[in-house]
Amino acid sequence: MNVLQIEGLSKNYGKIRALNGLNLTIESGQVMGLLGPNGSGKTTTLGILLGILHADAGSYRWFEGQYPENEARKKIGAILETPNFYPYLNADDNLDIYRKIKGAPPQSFDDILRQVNLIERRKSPFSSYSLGMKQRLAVAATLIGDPDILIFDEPTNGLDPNGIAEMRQIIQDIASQGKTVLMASHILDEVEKICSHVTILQKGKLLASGPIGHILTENSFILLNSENNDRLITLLHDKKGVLNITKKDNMIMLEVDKNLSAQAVNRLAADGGIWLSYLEERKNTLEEEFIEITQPHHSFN
Amino acid sequence: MINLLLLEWDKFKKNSVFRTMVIAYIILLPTLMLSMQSILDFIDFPMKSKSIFFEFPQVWKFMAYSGSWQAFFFFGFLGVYLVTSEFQNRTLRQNILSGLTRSQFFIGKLLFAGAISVFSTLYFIVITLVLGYFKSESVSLAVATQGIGISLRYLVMVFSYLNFGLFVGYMLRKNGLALLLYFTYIIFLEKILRWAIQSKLLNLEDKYNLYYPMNVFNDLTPLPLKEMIKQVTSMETQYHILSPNMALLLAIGWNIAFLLGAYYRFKKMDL
Repeated sequence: MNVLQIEGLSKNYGKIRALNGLNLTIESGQVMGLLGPNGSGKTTTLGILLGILHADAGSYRWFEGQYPENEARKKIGAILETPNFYPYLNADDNLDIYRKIKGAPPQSFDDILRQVNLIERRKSPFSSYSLGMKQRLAVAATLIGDPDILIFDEPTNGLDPNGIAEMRQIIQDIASQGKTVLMASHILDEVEKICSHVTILQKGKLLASGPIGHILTENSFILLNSENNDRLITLLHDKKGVLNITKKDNMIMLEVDKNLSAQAVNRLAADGGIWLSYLEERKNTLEEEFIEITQPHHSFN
Repeated sequence: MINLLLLEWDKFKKNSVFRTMVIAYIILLPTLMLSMQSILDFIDFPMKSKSIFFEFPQVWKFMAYSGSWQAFFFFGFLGVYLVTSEFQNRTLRQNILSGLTRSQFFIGKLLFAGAISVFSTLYFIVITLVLGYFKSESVSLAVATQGIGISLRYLVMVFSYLNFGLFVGYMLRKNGLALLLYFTYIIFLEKILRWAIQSKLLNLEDKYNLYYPMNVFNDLTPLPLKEMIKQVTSMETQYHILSPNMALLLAIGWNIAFLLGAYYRFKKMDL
């Protein structure tokens, strides 16, 4: 079953086009990463899907349109940007308010608060929490009523390294229970570690979407430097296995297929009479892929 | 419906602003009247009986007038806060994305304002009866309840200030800004507006001056002396105060206008 279908969603803020005809489908059980730099339209997309913002064009349907919009939202656990709670109320009181809104039966929040490691501070007012604790309470709130879909918007934003690790673990635990997760992030590593699928946005447009394995190619990247980079580019650009060459911070970024090793590149340069001053084989991460997809190429091929 | 009202109660029952405003009203409604007596004693007011303010049935009107100042201050402030705090804490967003519709949120606030109005009016009735009982020389049920009819206008008056506060809150969203507008509008902006529109722009008769919202709310429970003057003089003062029924009718009209305006804006806005 597809749990979410988006068709041609657009949103403008004055003259700025924040979202430009977005199409996307999310299937049940997917852990979808919504990836893009700041200002790419991630939060705008989530805001529209959650009834906070009005779209200028396009439509979306939760659960194949089985429920009225607000009833659908009750089956979704979501955090949008910052954790939003009544500052003078404690964790239990705050969670109970959202339980009532969701129409879930009265429940003890022991398990939920234990899961996010807040059980000992449950009676302190929200305003006394650290950012990490606030964020964890927000995750706790998403678990009320055992929703089928969870939405996280930049869940590790502003957290210290411990907090980041903790938050990722919590989300991974949730995902491992077979729930559908939609997570917006500008941190590629995070998406790569947590998600099964990825959708890449830039300037409100969809650049790529699919299983992480499909979006990631098997190509790898090699960073080079020499005294004469222009000659090096000329030398390498038509060699077998070289797919793309870009200049990066006065260095050269080589995209190569899996058969061309760093050692082989070194030999090619030496055979051409150029001695490399720098050679680094980059792990093929989503980061490289992201740069590849989102930045206009300065290609020499 | 009742769930929406209880939800508002859950949100604000432990809130210090809510508690302060309610407690201030509970304390000040009787004490302000009592302190007025000591002031009158002190300044040697030229009246044959200083207890006129506290005896049935006049006590109803004086209490209502005194209460209107507190409603304007405490409940108007509260009305603004009930809305702007939800914008500023972004809890409104969380309410909506957790499954509340905008209409439900709006109705919840409205019901809460209604409930506060009802309870503060009941309190007004009790306090007035108690005060009147102790200050009147001879008390009979008929005399004691003679002026109780003003309670309906008192109810509408309290609700009007709350509702205007909510309206300003929805319009401006920011707490400080909304409070500033609420108080400056009531204290002098409306008066400037009346002067500018009535006498400069439209050149209308003076009586239309009375139809502006804050003046209408004011005339629901006016200063009793004003009424007395109106009764004993037939001079130009005749247009200085609205009749009770007219004030009631216009206040209901303005309340509907504020509700519709706020609802329309709230439905359209991005949160």
